This record gives sequence, C-alpha cells and structure tokens, in this order.
Amino acid sequence: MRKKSRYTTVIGIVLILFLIGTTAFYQKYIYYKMIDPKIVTEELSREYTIEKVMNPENMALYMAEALKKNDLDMGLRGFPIDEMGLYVNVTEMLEPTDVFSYTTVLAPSGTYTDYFPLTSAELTSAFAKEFETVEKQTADLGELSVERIDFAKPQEQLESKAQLEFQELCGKWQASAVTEMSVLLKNGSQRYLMGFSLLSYDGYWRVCSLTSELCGTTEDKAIREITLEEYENLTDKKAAADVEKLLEESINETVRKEKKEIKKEEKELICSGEALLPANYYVVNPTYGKSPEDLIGEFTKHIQKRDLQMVLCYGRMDDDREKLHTSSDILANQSDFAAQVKNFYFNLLRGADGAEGKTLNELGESAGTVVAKLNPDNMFFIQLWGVEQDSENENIYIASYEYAQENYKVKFALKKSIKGWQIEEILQVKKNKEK
Amino acid sequence: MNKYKRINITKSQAENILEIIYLFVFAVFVGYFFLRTTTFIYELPEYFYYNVRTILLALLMARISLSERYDLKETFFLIALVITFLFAWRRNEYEELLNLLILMVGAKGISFRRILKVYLFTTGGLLLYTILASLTGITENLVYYQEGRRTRQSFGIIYPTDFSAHVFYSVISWLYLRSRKITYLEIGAVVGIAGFVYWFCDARLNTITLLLAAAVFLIYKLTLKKQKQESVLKELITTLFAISTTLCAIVMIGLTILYNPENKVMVFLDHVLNNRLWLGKKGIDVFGFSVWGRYIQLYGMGGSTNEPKYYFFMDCSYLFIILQYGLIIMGVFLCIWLFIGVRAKNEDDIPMLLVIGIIAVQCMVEHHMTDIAYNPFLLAALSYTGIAAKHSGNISYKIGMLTKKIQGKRTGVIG
Repeated sequence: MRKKSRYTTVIGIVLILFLIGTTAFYQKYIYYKMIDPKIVTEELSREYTIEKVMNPENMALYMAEALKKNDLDMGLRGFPIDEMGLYVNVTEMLEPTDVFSYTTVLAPSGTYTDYFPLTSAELTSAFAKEFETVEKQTADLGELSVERIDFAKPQEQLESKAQLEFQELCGKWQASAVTEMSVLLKNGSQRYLMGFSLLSYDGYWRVCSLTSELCGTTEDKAIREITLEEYENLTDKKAAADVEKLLEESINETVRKEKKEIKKEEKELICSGEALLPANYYVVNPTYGKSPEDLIGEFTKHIQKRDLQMVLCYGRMDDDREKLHTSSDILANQSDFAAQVKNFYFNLLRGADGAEGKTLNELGESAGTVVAKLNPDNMFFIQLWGVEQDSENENIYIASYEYAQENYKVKFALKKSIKGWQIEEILQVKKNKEK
Repeated sequence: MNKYKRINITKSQAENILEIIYLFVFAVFVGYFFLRTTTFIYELPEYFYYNVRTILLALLMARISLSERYDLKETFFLIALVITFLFAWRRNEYEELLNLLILMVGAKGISFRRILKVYLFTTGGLLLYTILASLTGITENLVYYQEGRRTRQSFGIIYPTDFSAHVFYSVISWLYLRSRKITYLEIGAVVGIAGFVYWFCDARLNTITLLLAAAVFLIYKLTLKKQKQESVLKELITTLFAISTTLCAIVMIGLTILYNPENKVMVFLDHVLNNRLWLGKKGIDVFGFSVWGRYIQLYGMGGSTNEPKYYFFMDCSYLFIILQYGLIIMGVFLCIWLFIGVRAKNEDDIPMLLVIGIIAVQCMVEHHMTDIAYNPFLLAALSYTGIAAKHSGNISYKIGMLTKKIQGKRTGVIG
C-alpha cells in the first residue's frame, strides 16, 4: 500500500473507532444514569421461605397467620397480585350495560402486558386496604388462634349454581379453580368465623378475598361470632372430600402428587410463623425532574419507551425515604397516580371521545372493541411539543401533545420539593382543536 | 462408438459461464427488490424470493469452489464478514443483511463495472418502464398535495422521495460508468434531471445532492489534466473523499445525540433537515444503541396518499443502520466504504472517490445506503474496480503486472 494511503486508512480507522467508541460510551452513560424504578423496602427485602402453597387449607392458614401478626407484607404476598395482573381479562369483565369508567375498570394488562405496572399498583392497594380493614376487626378481639380450617359449605360448592359462578370467576382471572374456606378462630371460650375466597393457578393457591359468600362474611363484617355446633353445620366431611376431588381434577398428576407430599410440611412451616411467600408487589422509587419541562419531558419519554413502572416514579411520593415502607398509605398513593396515568392513556388512545361514564351500549361498542382501542403500543407515537405555566395557578402546567394526528392539552399539577419536581396530579386531558 | 461428443471447457471458461449465469440471477434478484418499491400489483410464484436467493447462493458456492484467487488474508476477511453479518441477522432479524452479504461475496472476482452495467440496465430499465406505466395508468402514480408547497408525484414508485432516490442512484451509476468520457451535455442533463425531480417530486434534498453530483463531476472534468499531477491539495481532497462516509456518519450521529429542542441552532438545523434530528433523537432515547441492533418497526408515508395516523421513520442511513443493525455492523459498513475509498485512491480511481463522497452526503438525508434496490456501490467492496476492472479477463496475471506498473510510474486514470 502506498505510504499516503496508509495514512488515509489509519485516519479512517481512527475515526470509525472514535464514532463507535463514542456511541458505545454514550449508551453506557445512559445506562448508568438509569434509575431503578423500584425500591426495596425493609419488608420487601425479606427472603421468601416457601415458594407456593399447594393446599387450600394451608393457604387460608397462611393468611390467618398474616392477619394475626398484622403483617401487611406477608398478607400481600398471599394475594394473587401477579396472577390477576398478568391474566386479567377485561373483555370478560365488561358487560354491555356496565358503565365504562376509566377509574374503576382495570387496565387490560391480560391483553397488553405494558399495563401490568398500573394493574399491579391498583390491585396491591385494593388488597392492602382490604387486609387493613379486616385486620382492624380481628385486632379488637384479642389473641386469636386458628382452631380449624375447612371447605365452606362444601355441599353448596358442589351445586351447579356455585360451580357456574366459580367458572365465571375463573374466566375473569384466568384461574384454574375457585373455592371458599371457613376458618374457625378461638380466644378462650369464644369462637369466631372468618371466610376466605381462594383462586388456584396450576395447582397452587392464593387468597383473592378475605370474605366468603358461603360463610356470610363481608369486608365490613369479615369476622363474626359462632358456636362450634353452628360451625359444624357449615362443614361436611364427605362433601369436603368430593370438593377436594373436584379441585384436583383441575391439576395434573405430578402437581397432585407434589401437593399430597408437602401438605404436612407446608402446615408445619406456616404454624411455626416462618412461612413467607415470594414478594409479588412493588414500591416505586420517587424520582424528580429538574424543572417542570424536564419532569414532563421525562414522563413523556418513558411513555414512549413503554416503561410504565418508570412513569409511576414521577408521581408525588413522600420525600422521606425512611417513611417508605410497605404501608397502605404508600400503596394507595401509588395506586392513585396509576389510576391517573391510566386515565391519561385511555383518553389519548380513545381520542378524548368522552367515553368515560357511558355504557357499552351507549358507546355502540363491544367489550372486545373497547379493549382493542386501548392498545398501549401506539403511545410510542405521542409527541410533546411544549410546556407552559397556567396563568391562573402557578402550580398548574399545561403540556401540548400531539398523538395520532390530533393535538391535546394536558393539565398537570406539579409540586416542587428540595429534590426537584414531581407530578401531584394529572388533572385533565383535552383535545385541542387548533393545529 | 460413443455417439456423444465430449465438450471440453477450461476452468477459465467455466468461471466465465458461471459469472454470466450469476449476473443474470443477480439481475432477477435486484429486479425483485426494485419491484417492491413500486406500486405495481403483481403476483409471483410462491417462494420466488427464497428460490432466487438459494440459486444465487449455490452459484456463489460454485464460483468459490472453482476460484483459485483467495489468499489467507482474503479468506480470513470473508470468514469475519460472514460471521458478523450472520450473527447480526439472527439477532436483529433484518434479512437485508443476509441478502447484502450474499451479493457482496458474490461480487468477488467480477468486474464492478460489469456489475454496475447489469444493475443500471435492470433498475434503469425498470424505472423507465415504471414511469411510463404510471403515466399511462398501468400502475398508480401517487400524487401528494401539500398545503403551501408544490404537488409531489411518485411516478409509480411508493413515495416521491423514493423515486428521486432511484433517479439519484441511476444518475450516479451513469456518471461513474462514463467517468472521464462524461460530456458537458450529460452534466447538463443531470442538472435538468435535478430540476425535474424538484419540480415534479418536491424532493429538495435529493435535488441538492443531484446538483452536487453535477458540480463535482463538472469540476472533475475541468481538472482532468491537473489530476495526473501529485499535489498536496489532491492528496487532501482524495483523502477527504475516501473517509467522507465516516465523516458524514460522525456529523449526523453527533448532531442527533446532541439535539436539544431548547437550543435554537439545533431547532433551525432540524427544520432544515425536515425533523430528521428529533426523530433520530427519539429513536436513540427509546431504543438506544446496541451491539447487534434490534428490530424497530418503522411507520412511513409510502404506498398511500392518506396521511398516516402514526409516523416514525429514520430518514438518515447512519441512524437507520446504527440503531437497527447495531454498532458492529455500522463499523463494518464504514470499514467497507473506507476500503473502497482507499483502494480507489490507490488506483487513482477519482470517479469512485467522487461517488463515495456524494453518496456519503446523500445518506445523511436518505435511508437507502444498504438497500440493494437503490445503492449498488457496496458491491464494489469485493469486486474488481479501477484498472483491474478494465482488464478483467485474465485477472491473476494482469493484476500483478499492472499493480507493479502503478507503483512504478503513473499511467493515468482508467475511466
């Protein structure tokens, strides 16, 4: 090669390496700047000691222990947050006469997994509220111990009416089986009844409600006094065996064997007070913007990246890290913001068509069509054009967005703290007729 | 008595026959890709594309097995190229990489001028036919009406700027083939074509690159005598052209990374480049750079005059390649262009250097660098160019003789 061409080659290669090196370095830098959207609270840092509970009686026992210890984290791990969040079938849930509410309808995360962080946040908060409500009722009754756990009214569970209802529930939550358990608690000579509803997923169980229709318990009255004779009337050994047999039909042979083998071990672990299922919920890592423009820009960027968990981090959370525990307040705050983000998504995806509050019949759409319109993949195309402060309220900022050839104005209530800016509330999504 | 007469063919004749068959199948393959950029409605036999590619691969293998022209360095280079492209293809799912690999390796041992002639004949011929077909109603001529701007026509291609890109590459191919024989009339025709593209397609950026091509080849023609003399200026200019692709890549990728909507200069540049910077920045923010690339669904405006509901397209080849094909393939492509440029510099193949420079600039605003339906110049990497391309009959002896001659004394440019 000519000497001068060698210089050209060297210059060329150096420039190529410079380009590739710089872009690789830039990507590394971005990666290191990335914030973990979740924090590990003291409760979440606890290692699990049991992977899953294979027997419904033991699952009810686990939940009763959690209530006894007032251990919200332990209790949350017993609820089917992941399962419901990943498999929720919103199409099955919406009836033609049901009102389509952006706030009460869960995001269709069973169809579009992108929505999972929102559904998980909402379900976690709902279960946390239920747990605390029931726990308060049990706390008033002193030191309770579990005397017995049985299938609640097994004869009724075998009837076709109950089976039909169970099947509908399975359809909504993609579970393989449903059952209800009665729990007999004792404090001295006084006995109390609690009822739990359980869902099975491929042979393992989760408690989906701390109430039971068959036991006659509700969230407001989750525990009631009962005598031993009355309790005996709720149970029936032969029918219970038939219920168990029916439930085993929903699981395969291997799982059935495993279930029988570990039943005693499961019970011993739960009774020892050391049983803890794997963590199945999260607490977001409060994240801040340097300015209102930066905050809303980052919020939008993570929507485009389809990272809803990171989006939730920009919602207002307590500044004090020490206060970030698994508490129903924190989880409720998280859930409120998740509902607002869901509202933001639904409004944009539906073109702010005012569907909120109308029935499917009034919308002229089937449940399938409603869910199809909520595809979050398309949120990648959202474009933020500008942020300006509201002239009437200095805490309100209006963001101009373009999505699917339409323009929108979105009102955000922002809060400034020492660490930076956060979104207090997403107030309104409105279509802007001006181009 | 054996009634069948034995046909004796020499190895060289077998190579030539294989080369001709290869070029024919190559033309069919390129024609297929060209047709996909048109509005023609057609139906091909099932597996047509896969069958043609398989035949191309088989011919390539046959040519490799007959060839004695591979040395150790070449073999290692080819192995590295094949491994890199196949690794990338399996990870990012872009079949274009596999197709390009087959065509580049397949071009080895063939005169690039020959390949370019076949290419230009195929795509140029198809382009003319497509234009006529669109004007006579055989296929749809997509017409885009724009508020405050001139109407754009696509003349049977899926989008006006894609039509102008076909015109651009056809013109560049012609200019290269003509080289020192280019006339002032032909350069004037290029200016006329640029005017046509601007008037009927409103493809402003491609118009600029066509005018740039005309200007560059005009200067080339005017300075033909001076090019035989070695000078610092000539060295500087030829070096600049040889590394132009890398320089343009650095500029575009750098500008895109640094793009900030709050910076007025950036906003102005982005406006000039028709939002290529903010779209590219969005691509970087959302998808990020990766070693082997990733599949990115692009939503463009081609194929229909209806304004699309969703739009995301990277109209810059450098961003297109680095985000979709990955950092390694980007590096490989830049090395390939550098290799072509340095070889052209060594062979004093000034027209090739000019073409590299013009394509480098055009690729800042168009995404067709690796699209075989548009750009044939990547095939120059492993084929014979310059002096060797002119004497592509008995290559091995003549290359040795001619290379010695070049190193000894300058014999001038072979155009």
